[in-house]
Amino acid sequence: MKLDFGQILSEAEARPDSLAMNAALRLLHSPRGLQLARWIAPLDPRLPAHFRPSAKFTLELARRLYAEKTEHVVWASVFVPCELLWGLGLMPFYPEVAAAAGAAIGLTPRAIASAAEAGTPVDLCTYHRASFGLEREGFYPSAAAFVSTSHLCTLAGIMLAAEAHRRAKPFRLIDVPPTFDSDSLDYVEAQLQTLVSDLEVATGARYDPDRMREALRLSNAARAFALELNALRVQKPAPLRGGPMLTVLGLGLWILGHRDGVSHFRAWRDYTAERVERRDPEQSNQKIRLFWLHLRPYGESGLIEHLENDLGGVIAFEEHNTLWWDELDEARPLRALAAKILGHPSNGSIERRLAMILDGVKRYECDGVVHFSHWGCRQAAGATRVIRDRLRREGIPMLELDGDCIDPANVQSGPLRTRIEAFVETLV
Amino acid sequence: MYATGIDIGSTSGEAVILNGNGILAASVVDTGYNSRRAAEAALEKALADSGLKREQIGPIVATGYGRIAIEFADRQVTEISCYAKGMAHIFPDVRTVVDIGGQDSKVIAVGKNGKAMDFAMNDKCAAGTGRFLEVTARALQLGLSDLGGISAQATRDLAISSICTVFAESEVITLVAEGAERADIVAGLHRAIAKRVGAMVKRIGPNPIIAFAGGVAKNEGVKRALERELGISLVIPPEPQIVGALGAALIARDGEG
Repeated sequence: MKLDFGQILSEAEARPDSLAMNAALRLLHSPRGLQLARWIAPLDPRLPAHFRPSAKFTLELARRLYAEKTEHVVWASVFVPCELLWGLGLMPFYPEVAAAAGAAIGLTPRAIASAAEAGTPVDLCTYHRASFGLEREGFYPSAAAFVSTSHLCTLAGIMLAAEAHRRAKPFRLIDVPPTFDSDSLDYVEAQLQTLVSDLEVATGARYDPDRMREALRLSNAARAFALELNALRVQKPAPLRGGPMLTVLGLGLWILGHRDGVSHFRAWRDYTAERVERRDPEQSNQKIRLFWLHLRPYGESGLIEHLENDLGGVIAFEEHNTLWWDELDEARPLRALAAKILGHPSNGSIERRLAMILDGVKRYECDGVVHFSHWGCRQAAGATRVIRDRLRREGIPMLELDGDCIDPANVQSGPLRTRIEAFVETLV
Repeated sequence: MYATGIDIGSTSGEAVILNGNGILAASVVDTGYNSRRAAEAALEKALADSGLKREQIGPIVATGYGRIAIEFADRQVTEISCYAKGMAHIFPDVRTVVDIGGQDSKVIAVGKNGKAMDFAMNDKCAAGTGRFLEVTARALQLGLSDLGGISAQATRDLAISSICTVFAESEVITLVAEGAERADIVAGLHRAIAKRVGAMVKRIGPNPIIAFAGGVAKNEGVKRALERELGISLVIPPEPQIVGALGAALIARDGEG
C-alpha cells in the first residue's frame, strides 16, 4: 500500500472520526512510511535521548512486522517471555501490548465497536476485545503460531486459541502450576522444550543454542540497567513521574532479549541518574509518594496527569516495573525462562503479590497505594479486598479505582478525579 | 472576612457563609444544567440573606461535582473532605458519615479533627442514589417528598431485585401492573437503597455513631430502612443538604488542606 497523505487528509475530512485509524493503518502497511519514520523519529531533536532506543525499536519492529513481512511472527500472551522468541529468531507479537498502544493513539473505540459488530461479548476484557477488533480492522500482522501461558490471565489463552483456530495455525499453551519448586521447574522446562520443537516445525526456525544464549545475555544486561534505574527511583524527591513509566512498561515485555533492550534501559538509567545528580526531579511539586498497582488508562483520561501535575501526588514506583526474576542462567536458558514464568509475583499464593507490594511500599517510602482495576481483569482486581485488608493492618492507605485501560468510554473521568483528589486530601 | 463554602451537586447547590464559628447564612438552589450559574445563584441568595456584599466575603472554597466550574472560588476541595469537616462540626463524636446525593452515595470515615480518613463511593451507576428514587417515584406518579410518608404505610416486605435504576423502574411498573400497593413498593425501594449503602458502611467499618447527610437524608423511609439495615439509630443534622457547603466554608476559614 502506498502512503498518500493527500488521500488520508481527504478521507479525514469526510470521516473525521476515522483519521487516526486510517492514518495508522496506512503507515503500518507502507514500507516507505515506516522507513521514513524509522530514520526520522530517533533523529528528531525534540525526542529526548532516553526515548530514542524505544522509538528505534518500535519503528524497526513495525517495519519488520508490517512492511517487510519476511519473518515468522508468533503471537504471544504477555506472560510468555520474549527472550524465548527472540532467541529462536522469531518475531514476538503481543496483542495486549499492541491494544494498549492502540488506546494511546485513539484507535480502540472503533476497534471495540468492530469487535461488537462481530458479536464479541461485552463483558470480556477490553484488551482482548480491542485486539480482536484491531485484528479485524487489519492492524495486526499475520502469524505462524500462537502461544500463551495458563497463569494469571486465562482469557488471553482462550482468545489466542480461537484466533489460531480461525487461521488454522498451531496454538500452544504453557501450563504453569501455582507452586515454585523443582518439580514445577522441571514441568515448565519440559513444556518449553516441546514448544521450541513445535515452533521449529510451525515456522521453519532452527534452535541455535548460541542465539538463545545471546538473547538471555542481552536480557540480563538490560535487567542490570533496569535494576540500577529502580534503585535510583528510591530517591526523594522521586526523580521520575510514574505516568510515563506506566506507559513504557509494556515495552519491557517486548524488548528484553533484543539488543535495543540494553540501550533502552541504559538510556533510562542514565537519564534518571542525571536527574538525581542535578536534584532536578521531573515533577517539582511532590506532596505524597504513591505505589501504583496494576495498570493505567492509556487513552486521554487525564487521571494520572491530574494526580501528578495538579495534586502533588507522585507515583514513586509501579508494581509492574518490579523485576521479580533472578539473572537468567545462560547455560540453561529454558530452565531460566521457566523460573521467570513461575516466579511472577501474581502466580500462586496471594502472599507472593502481597510481599512484593509491601516490599515496594517500604523500599520507595510510599504514603499510600493506588490500585487501578481494569474492567474484566480478574487476575488483578480479584485480589483487591485481600490487599486492602492487609495494607490497612499495616497502616497503609489504599485507594481502589475502577476503570478501563483500553476503552475510554468506560473511564468516568469526573468520579475518578474526585476519588483521587479525595485520597490525596486524606494523605496530606 | 466571612469564609464561604459552595457545594454544587447534580441536583442542588448550596452556599454557606460563616461568621466565626457559626452559620451567618445558608442557601439551597436547584443546580439545573449550568453549575457555574447555580453557584452564582446559591451565593447571591446567601448574600441576600446575610445582608453582606460580595466584596465582604472570602475566601471561598468550592466543592461537589460542579466544583471545577466555579472559577471564582479560591480553592476546590472534594465533597469527601467537606462532608467530613462539616459533619464533625455539627456532631463532634461522629466517626462515619453517610451521604446520599442526587447522583452518588458515599460513606466517609472521619478522624477526630474532622479529617476524612477513608471513603467508599458508589458513582458508577445511579443505584443507591437520589436519582434511583427520583426515577422510580416518577413511575409511581409520586413526588420525591411523598416517598417517606407513604413507605410508613407498607404492610408487607416487597423485594426490588434490580439494582439497575432503569431495570428497577421496569420492575416497579410490573409490580404496579400486578396490583402491588404503592406503599409496599416504595418501602421495597428504600430497602434496596439501604442494602447498597449499608454494604458500603460495612466496608469502611461501622462506628457507634453514624450521621446521615445529603438530600435523601430528608426521606424518613430511607432513614428507617438504613437504620434497620445497620441496626443503629442515625443522627441527622437539621439541614442535611448544607453539610458539604458548611465543611467547605470551615476549610476556607481554617485554610486547611
